[in-house]
Amino acid sequence: MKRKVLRSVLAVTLSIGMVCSMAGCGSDTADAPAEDAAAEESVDEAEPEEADAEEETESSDASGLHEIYTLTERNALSGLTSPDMADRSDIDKALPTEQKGGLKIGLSMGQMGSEFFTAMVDSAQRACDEYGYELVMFNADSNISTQSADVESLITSGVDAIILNPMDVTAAAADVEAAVEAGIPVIGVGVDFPSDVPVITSILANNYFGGWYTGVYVGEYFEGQHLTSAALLGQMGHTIDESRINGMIAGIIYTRAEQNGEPFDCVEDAYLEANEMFNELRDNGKMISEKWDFDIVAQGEGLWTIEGGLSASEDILAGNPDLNLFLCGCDPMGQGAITAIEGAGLVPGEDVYVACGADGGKEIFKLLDNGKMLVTGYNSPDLNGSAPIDLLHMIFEEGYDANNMPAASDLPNAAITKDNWEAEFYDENLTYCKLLPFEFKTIDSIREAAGLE
Amino acid sequence: MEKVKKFDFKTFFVNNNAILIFVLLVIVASCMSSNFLSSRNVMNILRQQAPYALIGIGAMLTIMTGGIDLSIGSTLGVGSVVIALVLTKWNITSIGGLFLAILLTALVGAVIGLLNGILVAYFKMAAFIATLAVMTIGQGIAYISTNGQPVRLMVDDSAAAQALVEFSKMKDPVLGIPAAVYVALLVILIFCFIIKKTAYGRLLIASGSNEVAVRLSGINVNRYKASAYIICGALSATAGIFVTSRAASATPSTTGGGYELDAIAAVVIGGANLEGGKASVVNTIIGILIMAVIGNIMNLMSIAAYPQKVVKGIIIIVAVLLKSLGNKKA
Repeated sequence: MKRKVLRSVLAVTLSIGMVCSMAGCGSDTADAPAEDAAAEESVDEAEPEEADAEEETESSDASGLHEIYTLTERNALSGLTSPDMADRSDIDKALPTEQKGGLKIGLSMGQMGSEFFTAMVDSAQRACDEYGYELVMFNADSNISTQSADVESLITSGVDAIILNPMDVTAAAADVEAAVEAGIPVIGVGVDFPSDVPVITSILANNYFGGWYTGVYVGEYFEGQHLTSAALLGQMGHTIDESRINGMIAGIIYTRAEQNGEPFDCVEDAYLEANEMFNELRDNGKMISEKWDFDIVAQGEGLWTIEGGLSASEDILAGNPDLNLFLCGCDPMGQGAITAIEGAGLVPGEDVYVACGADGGKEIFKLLDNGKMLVTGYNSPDLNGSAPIDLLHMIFEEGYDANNMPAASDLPNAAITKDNWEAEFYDENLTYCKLLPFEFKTIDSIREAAGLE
Repeated sequence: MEKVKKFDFKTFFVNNNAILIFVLLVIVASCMSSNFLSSRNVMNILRQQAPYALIGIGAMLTIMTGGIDLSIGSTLGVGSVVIALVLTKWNITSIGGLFLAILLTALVGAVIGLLNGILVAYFKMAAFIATLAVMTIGQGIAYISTNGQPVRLMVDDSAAAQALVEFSKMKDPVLGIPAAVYVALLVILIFCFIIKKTAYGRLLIASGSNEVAVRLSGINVNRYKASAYIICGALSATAGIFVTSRAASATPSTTGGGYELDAIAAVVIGGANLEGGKASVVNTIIGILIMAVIGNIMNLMSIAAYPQKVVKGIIIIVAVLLKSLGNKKA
């Protein structure tokens, strides 16, 4: 198997890093593809040709905004946003008028059902300890009503700010409004709120581009080879896993187009075509693409656990003896798939490969190192936990103007592989990956970088 | 002259509808996918259903007494977590220690069952509510004891952990049937014997079908009812050991995995009467296999996830309807 090692797989980007991308293929602001970092750093010669600045392509609307950004059905597109963002400075966010220290911060977690969330809360606590803040944490245990009650309790207790990891952004929007009305600013974490909800911003791993980097790596690795794959999602319909798998498909076909010598006019065209392929998978249970020599012959639900991934993979392997790749929403399901592959008398990393959309960590580094797992996406719970505290520190003590931040501030994404895990992602003090550099952006700076007025 | 008995299809259907539905499903599944009857797929189904066999029998026992146990999945999750915690936190490395850990896990399940039994049989709480409460207690215990984190078995450092994981991979050299299936088979045979051949089994059924008569005959019905929950708890926790063995780790989220609903559905498909007094071990196992085949064939056919849920629900309804229609005709 021909393997093409990536020049540099670490490609730190933010969704708001689409600042360097164009809003649509025909936009005259185009100077680099969306996910510029991905295309420029993760993909060998993967930059699509820039679109003609003067022409509007078929997939752009009258305003020049690419069709992918205008789709109303966005469950599988979490993290894919246009840099042409509307101003949010008019929205009252209850930002502090005076600087103050010794903050009391409320943290409302939607659930604590995995090690990831525990690491996230521990990291938030460490950051609070460092700044001398008090952290009050509530766990809604997956119950929307409980979360509302938790936020009400935090409001009553008079916290200075609330960090909200919502179970459901629609239901939690009212909680945000209640807090802001009470003069308490709110930062979302883990999932992004609609832009009109009065959160300062939501800090999260970009699910779509977590998958994208994995997809790009898979595309590089399997150059010239047919892909008979299966998709493992925690649950079909869940926005995080759907977006990761969607991003993987996009990364694969984008890379294949480059390899075929017929690159997409712009990266958004790859997103759009991948989205159609994902919809075919969702609706029909399979997706066959002769054009890209890439099939997803089955999908399974693994409930984000090893056991769930194992059971789903066993059935898929039995029904598809020619399978050569699992695309998994997260690592535990990938671990289950590896066990299933071994149980079927096959060799993971030789007969059948496993690629995951997230998260990385010590257990996963071992699997990457011994070749049982091909690649996973960077997603640090520690960064998810500390970044909101850092932002509150900047706002309350350093006078950072957070009045016009994007609805979603995306944490870094990258592909973690056998070749780079140790040098770039390993931290002996952390269970998951080390913290990568991260910088907050405002809508103004994003628009300015994209050349938008 | 001896009368020749005429074959009565209705009676035959009523008595055997679960197995008829199962056979029909197998035929249909075989026609729909050439991989369905492959040895790998058959072994997958059997291996995956081993823990369901245990919780199915547990669910059947409680339903037989006119009750229900909604804490089955939660207890399974607790069992999964307990065996992993005992092996890792107590640093148990020997095979002997593994057996003690297994016994302790089953005992924890039995204690949870005892709590259910006391609430239902002695405090006369509605089984639905009592076991629902115990379900949430079990979930809380699993999360507290693990701090919400998965517990990974230290396979490299512990012969006990290694043996537990190897158990899930062991199979007999002739037929290739997984060891877990033999354990499940043993449990099935034991409970077939208990229900059919022992006074305890008959009284358990009687306590569900005619509690007053049993009580008037001087038998302590409460004790029998409570025992059903205790056994159910022990079997559920033991099923959790199977889950930990397969995944080489335990996660507290297993407590909310919804195992109980599949188990209860399988018991009902197997012909049990939710009001008590009627259930069969064999038919319960057939019910479990029906559920398994439905899920498996849809996976093999790559049917999309959303329609899968609808199809599964419809087949369960049809199976139960056929049973009730058959009963009425008879």
